[in-house]
Amino acid sequence: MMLGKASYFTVKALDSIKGNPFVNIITIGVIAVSFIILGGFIALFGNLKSLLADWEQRVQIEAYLKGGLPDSQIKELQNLISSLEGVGEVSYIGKDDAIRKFADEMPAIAGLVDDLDENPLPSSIRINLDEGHREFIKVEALALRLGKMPGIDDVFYGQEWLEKFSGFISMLKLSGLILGLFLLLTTTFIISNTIRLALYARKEELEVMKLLGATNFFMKTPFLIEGLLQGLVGAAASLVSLYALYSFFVAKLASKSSLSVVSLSSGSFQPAFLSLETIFYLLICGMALGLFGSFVSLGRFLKV
Amino acid sequence: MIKMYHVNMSYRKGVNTLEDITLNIKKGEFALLTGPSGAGKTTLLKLLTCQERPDDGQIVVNGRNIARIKQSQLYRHRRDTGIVFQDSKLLKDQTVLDNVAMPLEIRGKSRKEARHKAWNLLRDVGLHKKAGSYPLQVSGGEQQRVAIARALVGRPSILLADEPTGNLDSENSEYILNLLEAANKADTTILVATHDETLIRKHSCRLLTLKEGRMVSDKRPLAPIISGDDVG
Repeated sequence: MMLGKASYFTVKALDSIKGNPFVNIITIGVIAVSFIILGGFIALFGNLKSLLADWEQRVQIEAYLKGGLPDSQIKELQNLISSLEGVGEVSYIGKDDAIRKFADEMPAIAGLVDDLDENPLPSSIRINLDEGHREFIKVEALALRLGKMPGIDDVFYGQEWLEKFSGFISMLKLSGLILGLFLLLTTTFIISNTIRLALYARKEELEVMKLLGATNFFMKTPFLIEGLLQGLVGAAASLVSLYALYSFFVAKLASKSSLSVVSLSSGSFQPAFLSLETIFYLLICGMALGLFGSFVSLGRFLKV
Repeated sequence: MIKMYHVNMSYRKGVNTLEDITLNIKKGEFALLTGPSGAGKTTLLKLLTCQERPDDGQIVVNGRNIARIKQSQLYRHRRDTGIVFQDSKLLKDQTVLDNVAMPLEIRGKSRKEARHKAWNLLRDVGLHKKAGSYPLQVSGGEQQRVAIARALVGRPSILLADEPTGNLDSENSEYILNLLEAANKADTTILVATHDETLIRKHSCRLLTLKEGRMVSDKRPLAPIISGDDVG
């Protein structure tokens, strides 16, 4: 009985969609575009967060030492730093090692090093961090503490870049939320209008059905299913398009690997598509929006 | 079965479309409601189908006071009451069979069962061969027969018809009246609004006459008047 009713409602909803193909294609298209933007934001946000997490996994603090420190003080500093919570391996890089590394990492300007009268690079202590102590806030707190230690001139952990990057992610999150909300409202409005058009197209039929004893539930359900289907198909279409876009960009990045985020990160980070969980929620969100859009129209229309 | 007590109804303030209507139609009765155009026949039927509400008075149908019926309970009343409209109100984008099956689907019957019963009823009204046609592909008389089949398919206890022969020739009108009489013999209470004088003369049944919104006469069945042409 229930199955029969469900199939009746679904057939009615599909008939209504078939009856207004143009309007429905436009609606599904608009839903898809909205969800592409929304899904794109989620994917971008997720990837940037992963990139940040990847960086955090490999974070190191470089504590530059003041010139002329005796070996005993350097040793003392190393011991002191090693005893701090969250600090892993600690290694000393002397001035000579520093200039050699510089020349190795920048072969194009390695020749300049030979022309220098004096080694301008300071000696430093490189600090690796234990797992669980690599988040930006903890690193920042440790760096602040290190900077106050006698004998340490400056501390570097990519803070400027990291601060900007964190700020960018926060801004992206906020703009994504605002844009997402706007798109959801727009989508609801569009679905609601499409359903209203379908309602007007079937006004006579609904009036007759009502006089023949149809309940509001019986008349409303096909329209709710129609909205739900529009939302589902729109969201699904957006996911297919997003995947195509993702594949395209990944291929582009791979072909230009010297400029890619992948190579810049030089870690284990790989751009990822939306997780299965997110895909599931986007589809549910599409259906819920469709349902809500229909509900808004029906509430007004069938009150008579 | 149908009881109206001192019912008044107006579309505009101060102008009564129906005034102090009181009537009692018993179970299994066949009544014709007549009167000139604008007398209030359609409005009276609309009150009985709850398309309009009375300003005051009581309307009891099947023991249910429908004058103040809740919107959420309307469907129960409408499922007990078959309706035939003057313009048939068949859905043009659905086949004759689907039109007749619709009330059963509304009642939750499966599509298969609804279509099976609808087909049987179409056979009763002689239109089973046109089951797959669309309403605009059949004649006006046939459309009304389909509308009657649709009204009867849910086995209502009451059938209300508003000018069911209004647009039909005498042969088709006669056919429609015969169908309604057959339904009446199957214990359906029938109220037909009509100003078709020929039908009124030929069919012996209760005759209610409205004039300017008032019930001016209520005549019980008489023997049909036989005209000179019909003799011999």
